[in-house]
Amino acid sequence: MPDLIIDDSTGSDRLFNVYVNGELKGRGHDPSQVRRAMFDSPSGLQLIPRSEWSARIKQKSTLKAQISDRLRRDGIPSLDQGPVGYCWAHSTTGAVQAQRALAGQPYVPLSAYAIAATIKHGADEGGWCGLSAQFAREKGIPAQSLWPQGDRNYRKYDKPEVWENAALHKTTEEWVDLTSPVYDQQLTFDQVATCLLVNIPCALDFNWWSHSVMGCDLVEVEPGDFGIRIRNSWGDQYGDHGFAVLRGSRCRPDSALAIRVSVAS
Amino acid sequence: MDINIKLSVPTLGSISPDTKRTIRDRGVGAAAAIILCLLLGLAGRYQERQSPTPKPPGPGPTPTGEFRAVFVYESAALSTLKPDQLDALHSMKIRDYLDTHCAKGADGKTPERRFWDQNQDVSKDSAQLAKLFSRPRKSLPWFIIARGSSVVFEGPVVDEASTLATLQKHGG
Repeated sequence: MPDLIIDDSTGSDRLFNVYVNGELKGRGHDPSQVRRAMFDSPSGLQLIPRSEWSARIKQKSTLKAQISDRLRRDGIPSLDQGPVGYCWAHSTTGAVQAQRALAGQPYVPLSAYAIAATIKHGADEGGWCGLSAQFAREKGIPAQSLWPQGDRNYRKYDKPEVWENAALHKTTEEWVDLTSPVYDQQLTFDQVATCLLVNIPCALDFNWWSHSVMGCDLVEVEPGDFGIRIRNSWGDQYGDHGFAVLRGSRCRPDSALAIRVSVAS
Repeated sequence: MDINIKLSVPTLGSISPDTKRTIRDRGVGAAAAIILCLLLGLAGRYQERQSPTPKPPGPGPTPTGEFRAVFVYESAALSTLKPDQLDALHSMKIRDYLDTHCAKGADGKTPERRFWDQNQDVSKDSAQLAKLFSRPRKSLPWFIIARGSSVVFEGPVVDEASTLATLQKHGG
C-alpha cells in the first residue's frame, strides 16, 4: 500500500493535493476546514451494534419508517441516467433528494446531469460518488427545471441563475472521509448499516458492478444475513420502482458516503 | 318591589294588660325582624347580580390558527438515540398526521412540518418555521408546535405514542 503524500500548498482555497507514488491522484478538503464545514470523519460515527440490527429493522418495517417507505409515500420516482455513464452523480443526487424528503422539504427533482456534465465537460465518463458529493457541497445541485436530465450541454446551462438555484440544494453535513481522495472515500459496511438504520441515505460505489447507487435501507434477507436495499438510477421500470436488494459480497461498497443535511429550501 | 306583610296578633282575652303589651311588643319586634331579613335577602340577591361569584380557573381559549410543527435533532448523534426516539422521528403515522393537519407552505401543497438538524441553514425556507426553529431548546431531539403565531407546545421527543398524542391534542 503506497503512502499518501499530502501537499497543502493550495490551502488558500481549502483544498489539498493527494499524491500516490508521486502522481497527482485527486484533491480533498483541508482537514482543518473539515470540522468547521461539518463534514464529519466517519470515525466519529457511533456504530449501532450488530446485535440490535435485526430488532431495529423489524421495528422500522412495522412503522413504515424506512427511507424507501418515505420515498414511496411521497411519490418520488427513481432518477434515470439514460444511456450515459453518470451513475456516480445520480447516486449522490438521489441521496440528496431522499434527505430532503426525510426533512419534509418540498420535492424538487434535481439534475444529476448538471453535476456530471459540468465536471466532465459534457463527456460520457465514469466517476465516483465522492466526486459528485464534493460538487454538491461546493456548488449544490440545480433543479431539473433549470438543467434538464439527459442534457450534457454544459455551456448552455452554465448561467448564474442555474448556480443560484443549485446553492439552494447544497449539502452541508455528511459522513465522509475527506482525508482520502474522492475515488477512495470509504465507509465500512457497519458504518453504512448504522447510517441506514437512522435514515441517513448513502451514495455507494461498487467495483464489481462498475456502478454507483443510492443506499436506502438495511434489510435482513435471512436471519443473520444483512443486505442493503438500494435505489438504482435506471428509472422506475427497474426492480420494484427502482429498488433492489444487494446481499452477500455484492452489498459491500468500495467507496461510500452519507448525506446528513442539505440546505432547507 | 312592594312588600306587604299583614301583622296579625291573636286576641288575648284572658291575660293581663301588661302581658298583652309585652306580647304585642314582641310581635311587632318579630315582624320587624322578618321585614329586615326580607330586605337583606333582596339586597343580597341584587348584589349577587351585580358581581357574580368568580368561577374556578380553567384552560384559556384554545388557539385555532394554522397548525405547524418543527422537529429538531442532531444528525451526527442519531445513532446514539434510543430506538423509541428514532421511531418517533421517522414514524409514518406521525408524518401522515402532520401531512393531513399542517398548513400548506408557499407552494400550496407542502405541509408546514420539518425535521431539521440543529445546525440546519433554514434561511431559505418558511419564515414561520424558521421562527419556531430559532427558539431555545433544552435537549435534542425536540419538537415545537404552533397554532397561528402562538407556540402551544415545545418539549422533548420521547416516543411515537406520546409525540402523536401531543400533536393530536393541539392539532385536533
